[in-house]
Amino acid sequence: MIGYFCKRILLIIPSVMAVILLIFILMSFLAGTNTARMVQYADDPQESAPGLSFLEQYGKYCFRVFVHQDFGLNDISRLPLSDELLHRTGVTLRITGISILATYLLGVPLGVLAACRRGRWQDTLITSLTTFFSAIPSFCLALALILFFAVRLRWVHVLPETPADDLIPLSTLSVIGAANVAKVTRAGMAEVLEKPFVLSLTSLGLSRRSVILRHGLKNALIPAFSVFTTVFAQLLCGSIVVERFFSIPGLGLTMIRAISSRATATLLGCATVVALIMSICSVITDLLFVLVNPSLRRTLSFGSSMRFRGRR
Amino acid sequence: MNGQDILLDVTGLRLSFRTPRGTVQAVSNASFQVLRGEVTGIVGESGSGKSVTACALLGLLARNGTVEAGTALFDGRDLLALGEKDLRKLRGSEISMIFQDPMTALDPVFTIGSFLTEVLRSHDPAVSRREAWSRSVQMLAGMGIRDPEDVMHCYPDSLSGGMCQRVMIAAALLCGPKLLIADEPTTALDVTIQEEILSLLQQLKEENGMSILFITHDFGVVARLCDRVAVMYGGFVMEYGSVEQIFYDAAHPYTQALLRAIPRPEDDGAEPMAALQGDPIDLIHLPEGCVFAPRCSLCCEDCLHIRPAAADLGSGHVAVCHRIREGGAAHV
Amino acid sequence: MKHNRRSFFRNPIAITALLILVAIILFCFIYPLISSFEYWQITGDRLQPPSPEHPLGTDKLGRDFMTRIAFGGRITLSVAFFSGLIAAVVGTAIGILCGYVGGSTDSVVMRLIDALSSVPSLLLAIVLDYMLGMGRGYFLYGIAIAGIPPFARLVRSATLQISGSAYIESSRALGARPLCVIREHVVRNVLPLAAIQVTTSMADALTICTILGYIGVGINPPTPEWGALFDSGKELLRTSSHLAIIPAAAIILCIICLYLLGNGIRDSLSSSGGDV
Repeated sequence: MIGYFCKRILLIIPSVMAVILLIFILMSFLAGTNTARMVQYADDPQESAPGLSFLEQYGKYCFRVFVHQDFGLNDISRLPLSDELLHRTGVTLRITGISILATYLLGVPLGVLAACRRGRWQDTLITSLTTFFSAIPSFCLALALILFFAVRLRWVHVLPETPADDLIPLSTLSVIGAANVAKVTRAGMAEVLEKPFVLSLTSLGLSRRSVILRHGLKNALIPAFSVFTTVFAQLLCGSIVVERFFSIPGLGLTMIRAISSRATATLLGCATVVALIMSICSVITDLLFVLVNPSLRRTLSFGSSMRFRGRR
Repeated sequence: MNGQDILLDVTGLRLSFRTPRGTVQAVSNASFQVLRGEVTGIVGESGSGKSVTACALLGLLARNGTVEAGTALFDGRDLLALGEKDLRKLRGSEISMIFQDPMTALDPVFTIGSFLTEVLRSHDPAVSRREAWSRSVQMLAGMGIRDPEDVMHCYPDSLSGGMCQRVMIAAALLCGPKLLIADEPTTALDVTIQEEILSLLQQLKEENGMSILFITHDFGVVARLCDRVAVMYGGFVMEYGSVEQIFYDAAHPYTQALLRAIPRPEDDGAEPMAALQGDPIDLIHLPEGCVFAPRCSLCCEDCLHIRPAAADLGSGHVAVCHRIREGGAAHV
Repeated sequence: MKHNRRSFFRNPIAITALLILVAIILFCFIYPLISSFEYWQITGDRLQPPSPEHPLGTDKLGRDFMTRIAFGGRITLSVAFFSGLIAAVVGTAIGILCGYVGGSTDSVVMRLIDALSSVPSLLLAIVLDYMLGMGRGYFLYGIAIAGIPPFARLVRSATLQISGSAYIESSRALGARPLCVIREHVVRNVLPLAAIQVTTSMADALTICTILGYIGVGINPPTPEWGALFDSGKELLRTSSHLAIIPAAAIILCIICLYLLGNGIRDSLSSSGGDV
């Protein structure tokens, strides 16, 4: 199993490179891109020197990024992109990282509760809330939270100034993420509760609480964790809106500005970072999945349990 | 029959399910007994109410099911009157149940060892993990499982059907119950494995004095294992008696028809199979008379309009039919 | 699955939702025609509070806000409606094709659909808008493309179920042409399911459209769009909060109504009304 994960981690680099290639291709088709020199570096020769071919640029970019962590220069400011990207990625990751934790801590219990009280008022309430919150745009929710907590109650500032003010951007992301996780968990848990083993465990005298919390939950976590990457991707998208709303200098904002101003190098840098984050996310999802799903553990580890296949 | 010998005495059980299409009267009148150290079989086709009868005894009916009437005296206590808390104490420790499909009856994300130790420790929290483990291993060995230690570390999906059923029986017996309810435990298994499981159950009955309530649709299994038989149709126990009485002296037309329908090796195939005529019963709209009347070759005017009462044929043999005179069987 | 129209019309919540939506749509399309202002028309008074002359006041450039909201609603709702519709039609066609034909066509196309759905729809819409030319309304197609996977999957599994069923086999055995079989049985059974998904997709399209407007991708100013209106109103939250609240409220209201409508359609379809 360790071998499997080492392989997965090594595969991150090729998959990120594939994304970079895709972005290169996309960019080269767009008007306004200087295809001869898409990314500028600090040690570039004179302006009049002939440009590199597409593949040479691609190769140089990959090499610089993976070996030297050099993303080139910002098209507009001519400052090294690496520092800027590092700083902004940190900001975005801090917000989305805390949000994903809150998402699961909020979403899973709600989903479990809704499934256990299926058909009753708790289920109806939770289902309506999750449908509502997963449907509305995040800026609407952010507005509502701001109006209530910042304007009416005056507990926090409208724009984040102190760490406590981060609560509203975090809440915006977490609530929407939690709504999605709750939906998946509820569906998973409802399915689990219909399974025959729940009846047989109950018939053996196990308490309902033990059956739900120990057995039901572990089974329901399988679908809940399988959507980890999807939820994280949604949080990243949500952070675009949230960063703009609260003027937080993060990756999302940078990406949007780069898109509108056709800043090639910045866009490439952002895309690379996002691809890297998503690949890591995918490995984390696998890890979580293996944690709760034992049959995967066996498929991945070619160990002693294999001899029990086909026992009478 | 000595009252001390009766472990489970079910009388007049009646239960129904609320569905969007109407109220399904799954069981209208079921009465039977399980004696100590004996196996009572409940035979019937699908929809006869046999499985839900078993579930009702342990309070395992689905949310839309209600027990409307009846008593089920187990060791002097009426199971149907007990609350959830008391029922939970009974389950697994005094009455255990095993189900039809053993592969889905086990939680796929826990090991067998984890499962068995949990069952033990939920009934007796004082038992240490180590002791629970060794007792589970012993029980698995007692079920005829080779290498029980290895099996304890397995997940259910690496075990075969027969193995899973042995594990389920082991789990059911861990806390030494007096009554084992087996709901078609061999239906989902291969014939050869069926035989092994049945031998195992027989061994439990003979060596351990286990009482079993065995639910099945297979008369062959009944003949092999059971001491008493209740024949159910449409939610009613049509006939109840010892296995000899049922097989050799069947009084109810339904039982007789079922026995006739069993294909025998000596039949040369020239005659058509003696299948039952008519359609299966609609449990939402039960007829006002005998439920078997529409399909019965002995049906008379009374049968269509009046529910028959139980006729006592002596020595514990009971049949619910109008066409039986006291002390004699109905003739075809 | 039978379509039970009567039970739909007896459902007060769904009817109310439908009426509210219709009212909003009528308002958005009629008001700019009867308003004495144009949406781009700059009058002298900036940031005026609501008054008889300007029922919702004016924005920061002095344009009548009510007219802008109405016109913006036209844009937002049209985009949501058409992209939802395109996604429905294309997705349903793909689903029927894959489900009926099966084989390698099915595998290849469904792999593409899976790849499509693994990209978050917002990102997809942004990228497609970027590629197709910004500000010219092509983002509508981007949103539509992002909305295809749920339809394709839903319709495909329903088609597979029906295709495998006995009455299709017997139709084929009787020599019916494939297209007739599809039209008669498959489409009729699958359309109700697609109808429920349409409202969900339109709600999602609405969300994406407004987010695109909010972050500045999509429609170019001065053309109003609810998300873009929200964006410009947000700066003035302390003073003229209605400039931000009203677009947000309109968005939320439309989404809720679409979902309630979808629920109503779904309830009217389940003949026995739910699980045991």
